[in-house]
Amino acid sequence: MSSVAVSAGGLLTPLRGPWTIAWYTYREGIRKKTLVGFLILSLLVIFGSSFMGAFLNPTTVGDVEKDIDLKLIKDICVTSISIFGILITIFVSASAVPTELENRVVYTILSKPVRRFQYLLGKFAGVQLIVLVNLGLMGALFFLLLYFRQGVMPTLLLWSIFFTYFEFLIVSAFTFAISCTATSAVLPTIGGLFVWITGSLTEYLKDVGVRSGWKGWAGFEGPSDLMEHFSVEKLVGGLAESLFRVLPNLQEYNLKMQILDKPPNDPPTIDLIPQLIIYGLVYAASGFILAYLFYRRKEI
Amino acid sequence: MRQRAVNIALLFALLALLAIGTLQGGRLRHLRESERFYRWMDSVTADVYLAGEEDQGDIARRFSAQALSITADALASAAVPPTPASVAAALGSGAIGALSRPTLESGMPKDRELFRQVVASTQRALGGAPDTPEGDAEIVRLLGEGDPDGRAWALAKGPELAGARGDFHRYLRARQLAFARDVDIVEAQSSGVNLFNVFFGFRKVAANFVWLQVDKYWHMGMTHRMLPLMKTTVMLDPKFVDAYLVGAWHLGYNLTAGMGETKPQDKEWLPKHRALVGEKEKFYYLAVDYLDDGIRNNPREYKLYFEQGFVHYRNKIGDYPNAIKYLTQATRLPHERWVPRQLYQCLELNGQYQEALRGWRDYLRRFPDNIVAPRFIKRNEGLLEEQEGDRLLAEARAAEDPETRREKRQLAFRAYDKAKAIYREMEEAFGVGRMYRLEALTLAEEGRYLEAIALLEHARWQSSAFWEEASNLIIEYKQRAGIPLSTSEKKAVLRIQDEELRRRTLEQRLREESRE
Repeated sequence: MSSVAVSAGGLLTPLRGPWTIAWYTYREGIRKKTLVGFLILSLLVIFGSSFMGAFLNPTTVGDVEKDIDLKLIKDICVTSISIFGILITIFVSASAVPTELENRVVYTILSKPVRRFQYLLGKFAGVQLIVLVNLGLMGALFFLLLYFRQGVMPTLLLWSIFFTYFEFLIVSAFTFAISCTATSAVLPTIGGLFVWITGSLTEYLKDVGVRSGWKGWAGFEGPSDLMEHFSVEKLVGGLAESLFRVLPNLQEYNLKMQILDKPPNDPPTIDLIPQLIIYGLVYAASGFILAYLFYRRKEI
Repeated sequence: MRQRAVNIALLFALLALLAIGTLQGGRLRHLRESERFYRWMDSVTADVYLAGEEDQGDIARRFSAQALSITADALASAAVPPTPASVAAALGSGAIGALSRPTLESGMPKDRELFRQVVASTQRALGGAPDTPEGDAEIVRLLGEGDPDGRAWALAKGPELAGARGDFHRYLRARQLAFARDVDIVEAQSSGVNLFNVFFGFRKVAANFVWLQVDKYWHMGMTHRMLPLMKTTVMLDPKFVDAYLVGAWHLGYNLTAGMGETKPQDKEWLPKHRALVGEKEKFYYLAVDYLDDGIRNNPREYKLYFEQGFVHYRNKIGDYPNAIKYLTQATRLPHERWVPRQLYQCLELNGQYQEALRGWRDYLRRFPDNIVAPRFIKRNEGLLEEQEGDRLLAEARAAEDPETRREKRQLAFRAYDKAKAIYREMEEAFGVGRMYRLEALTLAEEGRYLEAIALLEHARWQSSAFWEEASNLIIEYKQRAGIPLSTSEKKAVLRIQDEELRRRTLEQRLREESRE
């Protein structure tokens, strides 16, 4: 029995360091004024959305007035959670590593028996903790508002918030990777916004491919087709389509908005949920490995 | 050396993860594309069910803005706020169809053609006859019931419909589908780059704010400003069911509240709905179109079908067959308790007493505490007996053999007696009115017209539901007995003649249209 405990303790030892760093990152992060500002603003918008119904004049068509009021709350809250949440995610992910470089805390940490991988894992986990706590606060307020308004548990809302996190996770991982190459938080913040905007526009790379008339790499029909198939226009189209396939597509997470309009047992939604979770985790892992690759090469 | 090996290993891990991400992305894309295809099938299924068999030309006509030439925006830009009458006149030539029309690049939508392909493929996959009519196909049944076990979804994403799915996306890119009209599907995917996708959520919030403005204009009495904003709201958020419900209610009820009736000879032909319409009716059909738009975008929302069937087709237009169609579809989807009750009432109004009776009995079995169902069961039992009596009496009149005539008459009066016994049990105004009708009919059959008319004069004040029928019977008996008609009765006869003229004109138009 005691040998099992010892071996389990041995397995957990490498995680103790990252956990301490994560906890420290979290405690430091939630004290940041900008972050608290975003959070308070988002909570005000969410709370304020419940008064939007006051602008509606009473109608006589059954429960329509109540339904429109609920719709107003849902749309405003989901959008504000999405916007403020992504800003918080980018800001936290972009500043976690460079700040410690700026104030030289990283030298103290890495002089201890902590590997760079453990340090980065801890920082990344700390960032996720901050994002999750913020999302949880915003989601909880939204949940309570809806619960008190409609009187039933808004379970679909929980799924919506859950998806929002996976979108944040992807953006956070790639912003974190950019931050590992920088010495200040400015560049990673701009990079994070860029990741979010391009990730949301990935769908159009497909459109570029289709409009160029690109037939795919397998569409090459032999030497006679050489000039036609590999013209500059089509190669650009091919490149765009290849990028479309490789880059993360945040548009997929639109399900977070759509799920609120759909019936609870919608067959396509049930199929999409696990696939979207896997998708988010795979790209988050890619972002983290990229971050580690950058950080390994960094001279500290 | 070790550092380099670790770097290479990490690089491989990164590439492996990106490859997995690409594969996962491919799987998601397949599901998303299948989902769009599935939603389109859902939308077309609702249309197959509601519009029945029709050709591509019919769809093109329904979706063409040509039938109505002025846009709702033109109304908004009018310098002087128009009166309801002038709005109606303008709409007569324009905005009914202009509320939400997709621009089809080919002019002729491919929806039905593609849906036939889907039906044939699914029938093959499910082992049925491949040439099954669209309306009878299994896929229509599955989707019509809301696909509770996900079988239609399994087909939509499976290899059975791979060909049709490919064609769907090809047509979608070429903007040749009339029923795949959600903005994020058609515009964001078929047009150039825009920021709609980034700010997807804002679109819905914007729709809400536009709707608040519609509400404001309504309470300010600026109805001419409401129409384009109503159109904008549902374009921004095609899933805004309440905007469709309230918008249609404004169009069908509130805007027409102060309008007078149009004389039959002044009514205009509305080709899209194949109906002769006056000012009020134009708004009724505007509401119908608006709700149809909502149904196409939200084919699984029972409220839209209910509103269309009960509020507009039954209450406003009095088109019971269409009301039954929409209400039946509402009952096939998850719905509230009151929905079937309205369906059974419409069945009764349409003379389908047997179906109404079956429905009410089933309803009472499911909700034994309901106090309305027993009354309506009695009512339909009585009406069925009455209908049987009327049929036998008509046969008796037509029979040449005196023996057969006597026998049929006996049977008819036996049915009437049964109906009277039921009505007597009901103890309500409706039953009283029906009993008087049967009494009057018996008297008239014996040639005692004066007594029959006197009875009917009394009866029509006893039951409001019987008023019109009693008044018509009075005229009929007076004409049969050669008794002079009163002024109001003469007017009523002229009105009936006008209606007859209108009906003939309508049939003539329909014949001309089918020849074209």
